[in-house]
Parts: sequence; C-alpha cells; structure tokens
Amino acid sequence: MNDSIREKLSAYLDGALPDAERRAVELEISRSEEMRMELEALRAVSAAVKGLPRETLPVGFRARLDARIAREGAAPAREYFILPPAYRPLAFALSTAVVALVVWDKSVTRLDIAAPHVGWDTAKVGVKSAAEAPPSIDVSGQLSAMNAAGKTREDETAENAAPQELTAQAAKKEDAAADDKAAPSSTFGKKISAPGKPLEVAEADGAASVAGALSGSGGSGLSAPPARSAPAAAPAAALDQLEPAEGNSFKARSEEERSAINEHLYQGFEEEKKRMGIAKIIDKDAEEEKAPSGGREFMTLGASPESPSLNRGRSVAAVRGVAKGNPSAPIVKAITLKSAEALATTWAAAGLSGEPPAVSFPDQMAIFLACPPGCGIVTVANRKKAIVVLYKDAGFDDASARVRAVTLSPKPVLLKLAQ
Amino acid sequence: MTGNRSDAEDLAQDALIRALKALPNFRGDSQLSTWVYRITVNAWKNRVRAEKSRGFWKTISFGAFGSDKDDDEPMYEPTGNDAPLDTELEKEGTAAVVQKALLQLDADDRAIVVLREIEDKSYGEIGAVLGLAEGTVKSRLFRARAKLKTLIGKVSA
Repeated sequence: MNDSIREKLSAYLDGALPDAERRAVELEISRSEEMRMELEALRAVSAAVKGLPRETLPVGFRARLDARIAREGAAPAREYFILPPAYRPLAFALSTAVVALVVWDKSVTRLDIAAPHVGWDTAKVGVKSAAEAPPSIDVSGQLSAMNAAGKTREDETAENAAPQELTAQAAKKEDAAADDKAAPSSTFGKKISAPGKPLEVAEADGAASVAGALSGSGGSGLSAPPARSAPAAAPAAALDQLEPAEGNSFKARSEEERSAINEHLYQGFEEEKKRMGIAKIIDKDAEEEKAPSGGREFMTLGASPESPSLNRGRSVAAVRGVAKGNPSAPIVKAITLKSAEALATTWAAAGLSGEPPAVSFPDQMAIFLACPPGCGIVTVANRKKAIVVLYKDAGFDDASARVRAVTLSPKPVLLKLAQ
Repeated sequence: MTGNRSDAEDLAQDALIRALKALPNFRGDSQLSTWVYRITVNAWKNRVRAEKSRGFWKTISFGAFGSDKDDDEPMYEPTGNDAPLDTELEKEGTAAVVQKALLQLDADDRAIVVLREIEDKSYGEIGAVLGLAEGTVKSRLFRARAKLKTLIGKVSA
C-alpha cells in the first residue's frame, strides 16, 4: 500500500484533506481493497472512542473548586521573582560590575585599565584599593538610559523625596564610609535611586570597593551623562505612567486595580465557560452547598422516591464477581450512600426485605454492595488512598452483610474479592 | 484522559485554578477555550510525568489482603451514569476495552485522540492547544489512531 496515501486516510476520514489530495485518496480507495479495509478500521476506532460514555461533572465540583481556591488562592501569580523586569537591566549591569570588580580588586591594584563600560566618558579609569575608595558612585546617566522606557513604583517614591535630601544622604554616607575604610563584601545596596538621582550603594559594606574601582580617585574619574529630569507626579498619575508598552508582561498595578482586572477577566472566563457548555456546574452547586455532610458529594446516591431504581445510585466501584477472564461473571458494585433515605431506597430497590443496618449519618456513610444473592462484605479497610472493600460473592445468608458503615470520606472505593 | 473520575476532577480543578491565576497574562492570541485546553493538557502531562516518577501510576498496594500478583489492571471502573443496568453492562464491555486501550497510549497520542474524537476539535485547534503545526497534527493523529487500533485488538483478545 502506498504509505503516503495511507497516512492521509486519517485526515480523509476527518474531511481535512485539500481537494486534490482527497481525490487521490478516493482513487486509491477505489482501487485497493486493503486501503478500504484500513479506512474502515480507522473509522471503527474513531467511532469507538467517540462512543465512550461522557462523564458529567460530579455534584459539588464547583463547591470543592471554590473551597480549594479559598484555601490555595487563585490570585494572579507574581510576575517576577526577585526584581520587576524594569530593574533587571540595572541589576544585571551592577551585578556584572560587582563580579568584575571583585576579580579586579583581588588581582589588580593601582593599575590603569580601560573603562569597563562604553557609556562612560573617560577612556581610562584609575583603580585604587578598596580602603581608599569613597562610598558611593553616581551612575545616574546609566540609570536614565536604562529606565528611559518607563519608571517603576520605587521611582515614584524616590521622586517624592527632595533631591536635596538624597544628595545630603549620599554625602553623609560618603563621609561615613570614607572614615570607615570598610573591607569589600558581596553585600549590595538595598535602595535604588530614581533616574536622575545618584545611585546609593552606601548600605553595602562593599560599596567602597565598588566605588573605588569604578571611580578611581574619589569618584571623580567617572563622568556620567546629565541626569534626566523627572517631574514629580501624583501617585495615580505615576501609576498610569507605569503602564508598560504593548507586549511588556510586567504591569505594576495597585491591589485594587488587580482586583478590578481580575474580576473583569473572571466574568469573561465565566461567559466562555458557558459558551463551552460547562455552565451547568453552577446550577448544581446551590443544592450541594446545603448538603449537611460536608464531604465530597460525588458518592451521593441520586435516587429519588419517584423512581427508586438501584441504577440511579452512583456506583463508585465495580468489578467482576469472580476471577478475571470470565466475562460472563456478574458485576459487583459498591455504592456509597450518605443518608438514611438513600440507604432505604437502595435497600428496597435491591429487593431486600427487612430494615437495613443502622448507620450514623451524616458522620458515616454506608457502603452498599450490589451483587448476586448470598454475597456480602467481609471487611472494610480505610486505607491511606482508598477505602478497600473485601467481599465474597457467596456464603452470606443475612442481607445486612451487604451494608457496612464507614467514616465519611472522599476516598475512592476499591473492591476486592476475598480468597 | 485520566482514566478515572477522581483524577479527572483533580485535573479539572488544577487546570481551572491555573487558568484563573494566569488570566492576567492571557493576551488573546487564541480563543480562551483553546488557551484553557492548553493549560489542561499541560497540567495533565505534568501529572503523568509526576506520577510516573513516583512509580505508582495506576497502582495501589493491597498488601494487607494477600498477594496481588494477578491484579495488573485497575480494580474499579467508575461508571457514574444512570442508564438501566443491562444497557450499562453492555456498554461497559465495549467501553472498557476502548478505555483500557486509550489509557495505554502515551500522553501525546492520548491527548491528540481525545481532543479530536471526544472534544471534536479541528486540526487547527488541536495544533493551537498542543503547539503543533497542522501537518504534524495530521500525521500524529494518524499514528495515534493506528496505535489505538492495535491496542484495542490486543486488549480485546
């Protein structure tokens, strides 16, 4: 068989071939019995999968989902781990400088080397030892360039502070660090100044080392470009300015804004869910939330007094009644029941006489064994991942052996034939 | 896709919570439903990988009840429908074979079959969900169906 044609049978089956290819496949099918059989086999597979029974959403799904959201939270995930994206170029540049300077500081002292950054005006920078270095540097030009596309929330804070205060702080820390002669360290400054403001690294023990290495003699070796003037703005206006360009994933928003956006998107999401045909889960929740048991309701019997049929109950486990390999063996099912009414209905529907055993609803649920006459539950084990029901398919005279009370649990029920 | 109701519910919860968390990053490049499907399939693949790495995929020990050497198939078959018992049993026969074969497909093949046959997605939509070109979807779907046909034959034998 032509393999290229054969591979197209699947798409032909789905009507997904262009006309020319479709005609070629049809021609081949008309000529080849093998191709026809292959197509029919694929069609049968497709139909078999399409014919699988569709599960409905379990009762209480929405309630459990809401509970999990309340427990775990469904707030939007943080869009950055340590620093917002706007700071990343700055962090990268500074960390690169620190790494480079630590190396230089250990290997090169009092050597004239080329300036490590293309943005600096001086062609050469004198590098001195850490002890001689001043505590801070002014790389506001670099900051302005890096942050030209947008500002950050910390910018706003910085802008609200008086420039004189920043300058005074920087001068004070310069003096303190010059006196301190601190040894280099990997710790870095916590505060980052706004564009146009001097960058403070004075909180870091290694600031002297960094500044000394970069600036040469007292910081005068670096001549940064003029600072960009940034007008002070009201917080709301500043937040507006924080809106990134199209395609930028980082959005610095207030909690209120986030909530409003989330609410808006959630509404859209709900509409889409309805369009997808799963809106009915909402309708089932109102009743579910009133359920006194509080447990997972997928085990609840769905029988009603109007149609007391055993088959309306929800079996949670079903196995062949005898060893596998005998497809004609009767099916044994375990059904969990969570109310006295459900148990009585199921008991009657199974044609059993007398009264079912007492179960302490709603703290307990009843496991009812739907099986041939004479069957019964040997024991029920509440295991870590499942409730295991060990049963025998004959030998029980008392119908009450079909029912066992177990603690209400959301675990799946597994059936096992006792040896 | 998961093979049982409990896992399916857990997966649905995981997927919806992930979707809610990621909604602010949804840019509208695709339909919201396609985006949710993609999240669901990815969540499911992650679960399959995690379960396999833990080594108990579809296996629960029953050590307290003696040897389980002959228990190489799932112990229970949740049905959850309200059909009459006889009809249910007939359906269970065919459906169980197909379901068992489907569960033996690897994750990628199962996803593509489920999206096409059960969710009735077009090749373009499947490609958007799985991040595949349409041509790749065609060839993979063909191979997945062929594998499934072989597996159904083996399971029902």
